Amino acid sequence: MMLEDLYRLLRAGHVQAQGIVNTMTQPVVVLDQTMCVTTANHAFLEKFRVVSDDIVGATFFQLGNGQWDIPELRQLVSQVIPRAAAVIGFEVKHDFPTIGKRTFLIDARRLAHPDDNSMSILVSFDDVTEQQRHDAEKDFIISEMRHRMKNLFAIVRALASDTEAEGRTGVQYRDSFLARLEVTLRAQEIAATVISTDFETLLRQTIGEPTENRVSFQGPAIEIKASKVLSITMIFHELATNSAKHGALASRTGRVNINWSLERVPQGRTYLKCEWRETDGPTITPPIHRGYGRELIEGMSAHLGGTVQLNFGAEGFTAMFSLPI
Amino acid sequence: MSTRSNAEADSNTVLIVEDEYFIAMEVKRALTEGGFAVLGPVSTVDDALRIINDQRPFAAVLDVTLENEMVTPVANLLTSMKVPFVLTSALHESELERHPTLRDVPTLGKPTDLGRLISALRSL
Repeated sequence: MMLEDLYRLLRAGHVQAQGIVNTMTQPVVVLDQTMCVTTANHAFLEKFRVVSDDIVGATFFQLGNGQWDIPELRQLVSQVIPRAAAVIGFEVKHDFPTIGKRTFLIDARRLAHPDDNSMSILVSFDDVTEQQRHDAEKDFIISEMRHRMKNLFAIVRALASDTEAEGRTGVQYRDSFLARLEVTLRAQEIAATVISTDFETLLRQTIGEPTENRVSFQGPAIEIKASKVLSITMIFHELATNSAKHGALASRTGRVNINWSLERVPQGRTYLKCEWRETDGPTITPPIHRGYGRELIEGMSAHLGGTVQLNFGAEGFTAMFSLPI
Repeated sequence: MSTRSNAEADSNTVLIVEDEYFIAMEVKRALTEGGFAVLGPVSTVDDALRIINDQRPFAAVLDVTLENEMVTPVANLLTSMKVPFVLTSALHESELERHPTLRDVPTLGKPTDLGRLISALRSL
């Protein structure tokens, strides 16, 4: 074989090897036994935003402001050649000057060689920053879900024990329990999907068509925080349900006027003052029992840190709310 | 609906801080049946602090994660006033360990065993 042929053969082999290394998406550098960089692949140059000329010949531990100069890593890598050891998955967290905070897993092995006497070290870098962020997010979501599931189960149990059972048939109990569960879950759904919502939009959504046409809404635009959506939805759903059963919305002529405004008090809190006033409905009489509905409206208002006054006047039922928002 | 007076804490007023209305009412019912007088239930740190400043309770039942805040300021104030409290929370114990004032506090999970809650309060 001519010397020229041999050269061509070797060169083709070298070009192919270089091509393979450069095709790898994982950053790789090759070090000689003095820890100086002899080769760096494209992925490495791109990942650390360096140029080949600046790093080839430099000591690995001096690269990029000495970011890899970690005593433990230095110790491990220095044993790769004499002891034929390997460094696998050594984690380095560092705030890199050009690419910011990153976490890498580093592998360092003696370069494979048929005679097993290679004096070069292949160091590869696995950027696990995103992976770790994903894992942390996933863990957070799972624990959040578990928390919500437990909470939801506690709510269902509380509803079941809150629903009156005495003197009622199983069917009556079941129906009223399921009706309450339905409203609660729907309100939970709204509260879980919004960050905040406009008060009037929430009222219209809660009262629903076709009743909505017989209700007038008057007041300024007010943002209701998601944390209050559930209670406010349930309070007004209860008012609308009661009205449709016994109040103004039970008759054809009856109407409901909802008026609201904001009031600031000295301690810095802002209160939503809201009046629910029923007119032109049937003559009403105050209920004898403090029923579930009334307890819910008063209880929820107090739980929100507010107050409510219910009036069963002959000309129509009214409810006056004062709720902190 | 809350029992309020300016009197000193008698040995059976318990403050309830719980943001879920139905759970709050269930706890309230259990406490009332167990012979305690209930303050609240309240759903926010602000309301809880206001009640405590108004009337020192004998003890408190605290949920840990309220809608968008942690109950820790309330726990801090109660600790400084030497008012004992128990936690009802769906959070894992390791999560609670991270907060100095919530460490070493009787913790009942969620859903809460109401019988255990009553005995925990009685043994305070």
